[in-house]
Amino acid sequence: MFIAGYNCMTSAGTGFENLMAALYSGKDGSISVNPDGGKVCFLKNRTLESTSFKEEMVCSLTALWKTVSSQLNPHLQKNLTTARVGFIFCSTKGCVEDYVWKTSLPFSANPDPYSPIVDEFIKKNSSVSWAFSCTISNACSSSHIGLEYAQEIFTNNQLDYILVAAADLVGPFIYNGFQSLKVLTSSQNKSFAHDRNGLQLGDGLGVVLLSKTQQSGMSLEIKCVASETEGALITKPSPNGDGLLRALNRIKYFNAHVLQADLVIAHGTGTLFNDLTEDLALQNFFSIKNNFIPVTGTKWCVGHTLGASGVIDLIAGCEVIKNQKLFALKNTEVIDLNFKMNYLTSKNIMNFEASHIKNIVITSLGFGGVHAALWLTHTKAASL
Amino acid sequence: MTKNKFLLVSCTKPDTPPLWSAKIDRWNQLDDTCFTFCQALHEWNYLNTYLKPDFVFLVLENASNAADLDFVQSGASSPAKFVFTLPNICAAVLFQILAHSGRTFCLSCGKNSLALAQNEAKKFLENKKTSWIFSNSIDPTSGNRAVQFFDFTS
Repeated sequence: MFIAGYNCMTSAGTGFENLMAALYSGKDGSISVNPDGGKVCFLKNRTLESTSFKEEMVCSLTALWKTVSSQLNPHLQKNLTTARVGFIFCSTKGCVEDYVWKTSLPFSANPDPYSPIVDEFIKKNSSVSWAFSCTISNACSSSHIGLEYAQEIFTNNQLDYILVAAADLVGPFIYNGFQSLKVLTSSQNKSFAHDRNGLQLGDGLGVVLLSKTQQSGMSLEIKCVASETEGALITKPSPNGDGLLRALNRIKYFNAHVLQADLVIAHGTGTLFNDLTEDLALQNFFSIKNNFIPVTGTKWCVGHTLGASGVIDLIAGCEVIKNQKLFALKNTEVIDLNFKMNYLTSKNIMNFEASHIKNIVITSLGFGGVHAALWLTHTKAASL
Repeated sequence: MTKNKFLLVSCTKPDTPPLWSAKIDRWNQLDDTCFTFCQALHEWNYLNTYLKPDFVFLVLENASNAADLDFVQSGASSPAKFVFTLPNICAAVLFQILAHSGRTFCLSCGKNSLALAQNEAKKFLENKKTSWIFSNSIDPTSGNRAVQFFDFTS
């Protein structure tokens, strides 16, 4: 499936240009929420106590979609008014904050928290001929699973275009939940470092318009995306990385193509177990012959944006291919001695030439033993 | 032709470990949704005569609203309660008890969630992709949980 357009909003600002500027310049957007620890990368003018999460999500996603749609070629813009277009919303808990603290109704009287956002978005953007809509909520891999779902819909020939919109905003529910799990860092997010001690949370929203077929001007393609939910442990991935390895193996071959990765954008939460599992899975997948492939990540910069993290990483990957410029894991200085992959740090990034980045692997791990991998590639632009 | 199963399951946890307890870590910490899924699957003999599917659709009409409220109303500090606030956690529990692993779509579309999943599973099957649907919702009359299973493997 082909990428027709994208945009995002993070603590680095509105627009993918601001995301990339922060990643390239090494700007960590996190702030401390309380003295006991816990850092969050908020959108501009947001705090933990902000109100109206639903309104913020709908308005921000609409604004992002308007920037994407306005830059589409006129033919595609017209197509979206008549073709079969789907909307897949990917999110975890950012939607519950509005009502969960104050509702007096029994849980069964409250609707699922996602559908009102989907309905409102579709209402606000009624010029598109939406033929399908749903929410995918598969924890922190929601974006990947949403993209995987889009892939299956396209192969079934159910739709022509799908807008995948991902969003999570950090409020007291998410913050207290992660605090209770004791996985938040009080210092810095240092993915894959020997002294890593947890993740930082982040607000994030992103939209990606996908097309079933390649059209004029489309040169970025999601070759394949695959997931694996394992029935191992609930909050931790299986220690040997088997779940992620199975997802990676599913994207290794696509039709007659064999994946030859030039870069990995890893999930890299910075927690002890996730990074260990991810390194093991990547080691096993790439083998010693290929463990020189550079590995980087975005969470030190914009935080862990939960259900939106896959779309944010996908957008960063698209920009790396366009710019042919890598970004490092800025807060990471010394890699965990047990890790075997080639992690990009501020010190060693100079050693890598980025003139041939064509294929990128983007990984994801979520609670509930859900793992996913995506193969992003640059393909010859069609001139149709 | 799909083979469907339906069971109303009480959310009241027994004092003694259920017969399936050895299959699940900390069974007594399961939320109502996961607990009732385990009870139903035990009743259904762990679906051991069914072909394993390519995909699983997990449908929770009220998402994880019950677990969300439980976490908040108990002080928003219990990690054991927080983990069940993610709707897809049910898939991990289902897969533990079924000794299965695979691709899962945790779908929501309000009151239409189950109908949407059934429609999608039919379209998947037309394209030779097999699936199972697991659904869990509150039964308004009894207050019990309505657990449903739909097989789209043939």
